[in-house]
Amino acid sequence: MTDDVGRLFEQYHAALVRMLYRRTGDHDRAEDLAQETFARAVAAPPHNPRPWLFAVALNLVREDGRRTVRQGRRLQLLKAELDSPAPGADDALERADLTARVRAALDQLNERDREALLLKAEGFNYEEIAETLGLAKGAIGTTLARARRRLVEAYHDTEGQAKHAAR
Amino acid sequence: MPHVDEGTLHALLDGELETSEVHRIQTHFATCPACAARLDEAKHLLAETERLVTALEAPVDASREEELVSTGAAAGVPASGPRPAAAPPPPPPGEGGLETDPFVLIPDNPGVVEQRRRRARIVAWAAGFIVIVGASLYGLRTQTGVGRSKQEQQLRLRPEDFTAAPPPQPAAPQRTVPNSADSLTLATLRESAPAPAPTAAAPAAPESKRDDKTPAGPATTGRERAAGQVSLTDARADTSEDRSTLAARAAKATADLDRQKIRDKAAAATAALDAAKRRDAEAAQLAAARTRAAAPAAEPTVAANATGQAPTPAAPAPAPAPAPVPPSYPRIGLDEAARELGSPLHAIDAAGLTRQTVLLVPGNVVAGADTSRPVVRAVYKDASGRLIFLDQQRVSAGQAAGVPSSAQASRSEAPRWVAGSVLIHLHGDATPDFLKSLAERVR
Repeated sequence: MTDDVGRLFEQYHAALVRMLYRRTGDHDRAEDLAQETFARAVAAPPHNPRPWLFAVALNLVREDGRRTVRQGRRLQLLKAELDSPAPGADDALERADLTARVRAALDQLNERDREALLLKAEGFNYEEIAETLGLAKGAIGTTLARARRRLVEAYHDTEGQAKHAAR
Repeated sequence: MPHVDEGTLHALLDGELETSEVHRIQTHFATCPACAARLDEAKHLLAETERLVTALEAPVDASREEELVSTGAAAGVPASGPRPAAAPPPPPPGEGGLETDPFVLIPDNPGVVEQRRRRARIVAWAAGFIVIVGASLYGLRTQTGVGRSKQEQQLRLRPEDFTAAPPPQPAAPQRTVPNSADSLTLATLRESAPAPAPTAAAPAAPESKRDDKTPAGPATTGRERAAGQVSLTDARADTSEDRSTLAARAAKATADLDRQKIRDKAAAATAALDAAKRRDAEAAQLAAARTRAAAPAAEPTVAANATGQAPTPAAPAPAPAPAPVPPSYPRIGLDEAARELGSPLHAIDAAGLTRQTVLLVPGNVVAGADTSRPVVRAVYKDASGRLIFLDQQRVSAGQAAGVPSSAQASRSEAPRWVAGSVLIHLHGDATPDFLKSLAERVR
């Protein structure tokens, strides 16, 4: 069983941390939540590991979100993003600015749309997204269409606000 | 047919629709410019979303945590204290929420706090022992000048002390040492040395001391004061047995300290190795994500090609040049491929070549194919990662004219021939000679 979980870890850890980072904006928290997810996999080895691991991880994020002061997390993520190395200061600022706006836009989506989007970004097909989120497969196309449209619109809204503020 | 809803458009672009439905929608696009326009819009949304989500990649900064730890330990920052003031980066422009200093509000990382706390304990513990060892050496040196070096050797070279030494007890340096020099004797000094056997209450001692805001510095200073004033009379009054016991304890303390240092170095090396592995994995993931992000933008979609609209700039010309595998081409199973071809799918039986997937490709992107019908494409990858495509289409009337009936007879650089009722076209990211050698292995 330990070997199985070891294989799961090798196979899915990086993707899980990446998805959790995109979801939480906090790299340390993403690592912790991924560890907790694999700890649960040790306790109850899953049949279909990929949807199971991501479903557990997203549940943990939701539980965590209820306990966490959102403002503190925002600031943590912004700090992490500002800390990221970049070729130049301008690039770093530009990247931080883009990341902050994307995250603000992502936060405007509802939980289901956001999670569907992040799972799709991890290469999940509709069947896997449906299994992970407990939705009907036939609803995933509509969910993703709505999520994509809202994300892009919300992002452009933040862009417009930034330009307005700059004037 | 009613208009295609947005969910179906996205499912089409995500390659999630059955072939029959793809055909049905393609037919509709040909007669419905409104839906074709919405398809373009959906394509734009897809590309834009991918760009935005990719922007949320984790920063590759594994050394951040280690820097925080080392800075905190070196500067003697208390475990519960704020992060070092030198660390915060400047606030970004245009972010109103960051005009106040955000870093004060950032919850401290529990892992880092615990690491710093442990290191602070070890430093305090080590400082206490150094003082004790120094005090005992001072006592021995001042007792008599003769045989001093012999006694020093005795202090350092007792292997049995090293083997029998107990694990370090962090509680020991936190013990209260009387600051009153007048009442200090070697006996009290020995009591302040670490007890060889742990007590149940010992592990809790450092935390309680920390909670009481008792800094390690003043305690150490008290010991220094006390040790510096150990009276010569007291030292002389001590027996030789006491001296050897003290020497043994000093040797044990030195050994414990060395072991702790080794453990710390090992832990630091392990952490560095983990961080390096994580960096490598993240870099690989980043590269893969960028490749994925670049692919859809450069590829046409099945639907767009089927509508007969003006081709997009990325639309491939009907040339034999190998096209990369587009994610928007629907994947099909072997059964469906057999139905499409009217016979089982042809395969390349060559060592080192593995089949990746089977796709349904529009006929207009394959040279010599009937453009009104899709082509079944088996995608292979060789050992060096080159993609080889085995395109197959059921022959229609007149299509086989001029096409050789065997791969050997084909004179084109990318072999094309008819096997039974199927037109086969072998091409890919390989030399013509290699492709011809593969053609002989098509079954």
